[in-house]
Amino acid sequence: MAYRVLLVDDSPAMRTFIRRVMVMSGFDLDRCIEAGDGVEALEQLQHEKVDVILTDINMPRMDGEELMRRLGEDKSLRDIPAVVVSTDSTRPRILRMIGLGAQGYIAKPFSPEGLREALEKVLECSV
Amino acid sequence: MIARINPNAAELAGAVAEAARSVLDTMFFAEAETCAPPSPEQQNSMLGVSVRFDGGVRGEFLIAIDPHAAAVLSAAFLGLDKSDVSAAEIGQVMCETANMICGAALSRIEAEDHMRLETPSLTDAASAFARGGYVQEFFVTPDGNIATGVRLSA
Repeated sequence: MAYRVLLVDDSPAMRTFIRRVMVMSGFDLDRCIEAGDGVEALEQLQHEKVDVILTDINMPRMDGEELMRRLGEDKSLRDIPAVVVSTDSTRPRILRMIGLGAQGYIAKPFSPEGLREALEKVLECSV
Repeated sequence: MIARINPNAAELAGAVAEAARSVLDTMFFAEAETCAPPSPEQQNSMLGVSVRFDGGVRGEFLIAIDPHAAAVLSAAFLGLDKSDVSAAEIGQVMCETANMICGAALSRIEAEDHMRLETPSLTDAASAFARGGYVQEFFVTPDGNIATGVRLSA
């Protein structure tokens, strides 16, 4: 099964890297939709159906924490699995994002294998 | 109220060194060893990025990268040939590199979830370093030198 991914990060370079690593690692990617912050992500989700959301935390306008909160409040979006990808790997932050509904947490820096394993784990659980 | 922590210079330097090696190895497939400071001429030609941070510790992280190393690392990160990488793309990758090293270093120091990083920006790192007050680390990669510095503020 090929997956549609929404990638939310304010760094265009990081979005390119993650997209490339997903393909390189053999992850079955159907389509990758990109957003530069939480506001753009919610706009994209108005008209795009995705299988998983990958989101950074530190972003302008709407950060990853607020995005997770909004996703959780929306009946039509709350079941989409979300994985946080962040440089902040402090335990309290990870627990808070999990508490907001994140199903996975990838700390930067990460290996291609680490990204693929986290995505597959989340997608298997959501099937 | 956020409780401030006060790491010493050795703790800061150690956290940055570990984070830099980890980021360069994992995300760029580049080996980096600590080394002596590059000459002032070399430092003047380096590309600089600044990241301000707040939380348990507040301050600024600086990174300066040899232009050749910046182009090679950017090409590796984006999966492009070195000759195809634009100056804007090099700037974006260097900003993301600074963001990752700063965030990974602070995660080694911070115990709570107060860490906030501002958007990285290109800067004249050589002039900033010349003003002093930074705990500095120097690295050499096969493609050139990298200098980092952290300065804490009250």
